[in-house]
Amino acid sequence: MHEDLLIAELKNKSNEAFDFLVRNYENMVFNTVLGIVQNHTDAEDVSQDVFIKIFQSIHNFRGDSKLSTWVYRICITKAIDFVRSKKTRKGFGFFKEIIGLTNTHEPTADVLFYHPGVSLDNKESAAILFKAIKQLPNNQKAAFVLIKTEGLSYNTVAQILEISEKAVEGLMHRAKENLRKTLEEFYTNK
Amino acid sequence: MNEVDKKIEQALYSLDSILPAQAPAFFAPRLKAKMENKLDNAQPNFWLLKQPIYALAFTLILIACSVYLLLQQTNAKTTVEVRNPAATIQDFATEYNLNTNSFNY
Repeated sequence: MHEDLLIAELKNKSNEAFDFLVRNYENMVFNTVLGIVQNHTDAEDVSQDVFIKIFQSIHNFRGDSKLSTWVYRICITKAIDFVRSKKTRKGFGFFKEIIGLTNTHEPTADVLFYHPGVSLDNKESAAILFKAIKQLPNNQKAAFVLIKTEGLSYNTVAQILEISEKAVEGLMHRAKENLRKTLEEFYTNK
Repeated sequence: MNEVDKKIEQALYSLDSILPAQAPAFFAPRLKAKMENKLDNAQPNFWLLKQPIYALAFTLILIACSVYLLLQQTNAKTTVEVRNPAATIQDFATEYNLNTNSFNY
């Protein structure tokens, strides 16, 4: 289906068009979200929310960019919002634990994330890298994940994040510097 | 290059040959079910009140209204008492039959 037709049909709330969109974008959405939330169950949940958001706000899509760029933007926003709210929930959980309202603590807090697309010989190193990615500021995290796990070009990432290509280069440079520092700390104290 | 540097480099380049993750099986049917559930049970979303600044403003307005009403009520009571103290005494006297006495003093 041609993109213009797909968008028009989506705006008409066509079920066929939405099914087509899901079939063609589910892997892209899931992979992007997974890189940020780093948990399969959460990634599925957030990916579903991304499609619901697309369905609800397709009428706001002006067509200034490609549909995929707009979808990537929603993925990044939803995934980062999810991570932020999860951190807040954890904070409240810790508070509740202190005042004795609950004694359940998050057992998955320091569990390493193993991306299914990483080769076996890189599995451990990639898990350590993903742990370091978690600590990056949101914009650096978004740029790094889009470029490294989705394999997007600097130009495409610039369009998604609505910044210049130079700014993306800057984000990637700072992200790599920060990751190097975190990894150095990790391997030195190990 | 020492051991730590080697490991750092290895970690930094570990995603270079990564393959994209696939969406889990039955993603589409589960999405459909969630959508139907979410859209059918759509309730008014008070998203504005979920923003801390608006929630705080709303609370302050509520407190201001409560204080205003409380002051209004207090003023109204005071006004009645102050405006007509003689009437209150008269009422009291009538209630307890103190207006007249049988001994005429």
